[in-house]
Amino acid sequence: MISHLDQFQREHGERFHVGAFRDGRDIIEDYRPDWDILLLDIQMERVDGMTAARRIREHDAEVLILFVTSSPQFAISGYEVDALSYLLKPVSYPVFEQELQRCLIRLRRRERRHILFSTVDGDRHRVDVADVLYVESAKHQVVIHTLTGDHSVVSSLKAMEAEFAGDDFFRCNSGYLVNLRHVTGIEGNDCSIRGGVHVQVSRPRKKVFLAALAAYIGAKGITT
Amino acid sequence: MIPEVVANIPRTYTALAEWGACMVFVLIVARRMPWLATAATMLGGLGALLAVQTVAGLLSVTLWIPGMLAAVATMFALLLGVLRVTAVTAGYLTARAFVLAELTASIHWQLDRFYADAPDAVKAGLLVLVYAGVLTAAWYVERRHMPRGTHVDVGVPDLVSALAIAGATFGISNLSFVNASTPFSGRLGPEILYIRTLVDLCGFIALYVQHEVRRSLQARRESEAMARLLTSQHDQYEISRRTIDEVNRKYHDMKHHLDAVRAEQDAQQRLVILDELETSIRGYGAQVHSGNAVLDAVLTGKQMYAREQGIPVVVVADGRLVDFVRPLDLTSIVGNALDNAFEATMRLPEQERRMVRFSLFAHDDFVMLRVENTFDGRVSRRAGRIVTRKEGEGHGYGLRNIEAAAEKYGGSVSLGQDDGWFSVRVLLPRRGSASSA
Repeated sequence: MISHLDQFQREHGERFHVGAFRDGRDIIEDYRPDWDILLLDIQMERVDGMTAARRIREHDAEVLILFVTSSPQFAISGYEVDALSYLLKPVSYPVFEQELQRCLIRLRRRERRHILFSTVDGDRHRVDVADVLYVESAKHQVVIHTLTGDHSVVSSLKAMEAEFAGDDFFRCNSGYLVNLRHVTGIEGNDCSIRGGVHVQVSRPRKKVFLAALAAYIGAKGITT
Repeated sequence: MIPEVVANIPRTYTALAEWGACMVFVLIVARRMPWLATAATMLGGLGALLAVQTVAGLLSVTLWIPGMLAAVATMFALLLGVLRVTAVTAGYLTARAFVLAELTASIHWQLDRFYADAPDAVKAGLLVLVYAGVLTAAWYVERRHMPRGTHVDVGVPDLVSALAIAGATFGISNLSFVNASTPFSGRLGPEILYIRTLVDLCGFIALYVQHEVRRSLQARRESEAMARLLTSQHDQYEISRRTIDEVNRKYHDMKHHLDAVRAEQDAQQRLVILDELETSIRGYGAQVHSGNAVLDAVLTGKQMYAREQGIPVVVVADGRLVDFVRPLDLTSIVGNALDNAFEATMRLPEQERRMVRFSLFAHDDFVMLRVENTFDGRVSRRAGRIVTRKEGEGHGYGLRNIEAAAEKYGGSVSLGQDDGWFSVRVLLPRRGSASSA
């Protein structure tokens, strides 16, 4: 595995800070969320990889976990700990290369984007786009609903749609712009958003909406 | 002699009807260009038809047929230019548009002659009303069997019968105008107009029915092919299940083999038994245990195939998430998606780049089932949809089967490509509100 890492660094011009642990217990002992990627062997002597992953997830929701194992039986549990992937021993270099590249792409995508706006009462706000739940149009204003609160802004839904272009937002009917990240379910034409809000998806848009959702969730993979 | 009352339809009106009839199909069938370019072409087409009819009107009666043919050719060129269709299909649509145009012009002219003494303003109103009314009605009924943006693809036999119906309609409806003394001609003035309208209406209905029959036959053929494919997917699942049973039996046998090894005193003989044992179990190690028996069977079967082809398959799947999916639907989704992935990745010339990943995970109240494969970066598209590169019947249904199965559970399918990877992503609402269909 270390030799694969060396080869990857040589071929891709990347520099990794690599740390090796001999057992699951060594890594969960005094774990700090400093790592970006963990390659965990499932079969380890004292604390196995799956247990270690579960403990790590309690403190670190961000780190990418890749399991390495000679037995495929653990494939099920991978999802419980948000594993990104699961490599079967012996791991060939092309497979390793692919998976690591995917990890790097994912790490780079994590950069956050913010929007700036002034609310109706004159306050300036800076909001993480990822925290926006949905935008609702109300006469000559729009209400930006976020995880932390609502803001009324003089704008149009069309302008907001342009503002969020490329950020996985979807106009699911004439009055709502929804962040796909916070869509938690769909039943009939009723789409539920984190926080318990329900929004109607207009019939002509439903097919496209579901396809956009499939593309969004599918692209995100196991880690959220 | 033909009475004055049935004087033939003004050429401008005929051109207008022909253009309007083309428009009916332009508004329904998938077009080649954006709407602005389409509108410009259609305006040009209107000019061309007016010109053709005006010139034809100046010619002598003997050149009447060539004049009509020139108009038909113009309609054909217009439809072929604007619509995304083959020449055969354009010919087929031209036949239909031509009969519709004849019908429209005939109805109007019959009414116009009946109210021959009405003021010009009323007659102009009648023209607009009848043309708009008939063409809108035609658009409405045609749209029912050709959904908007539809792809019409007809064969030569369909073209031939449409042309025959159109030709016969045109011939019989206009016979009275050419010669009043045939067994099939009308002799009384206004009746001639009525006969023409009736024959044109029959022609229109005949063409409509022809199209309807063709369409239902096609739909039946497709559903039969789809059913065949589904059955074969299910057969595959059965085969996989049997294989798994066999493996389980093998594990059971292993105990006896071990006893045999233990009992064997001769070290040489012992090695021979061990070697045999090793060969017999090679390849049975990588069974999938996802928590869903159907998924395990399909994945195990497909992995066996992949191993033979030298394609590594990485699986991360919580099978319990798809317990609500019926076996036939699950085998259809997973089997088709994996088959497509194997097929596409094998087109890569470099063996070591061939790879397939399968994942099944939950995301809030959704289940995401994703199959990814490395590929050569080429996808065939038709009308924005990805289509098969395989030829012949029974192919190209894989993706449609996946879509059909996903839609049954209120889900959807999305295809994507990213950095040398192609992915099929099936999204299903988690609690599985499966319909009873």
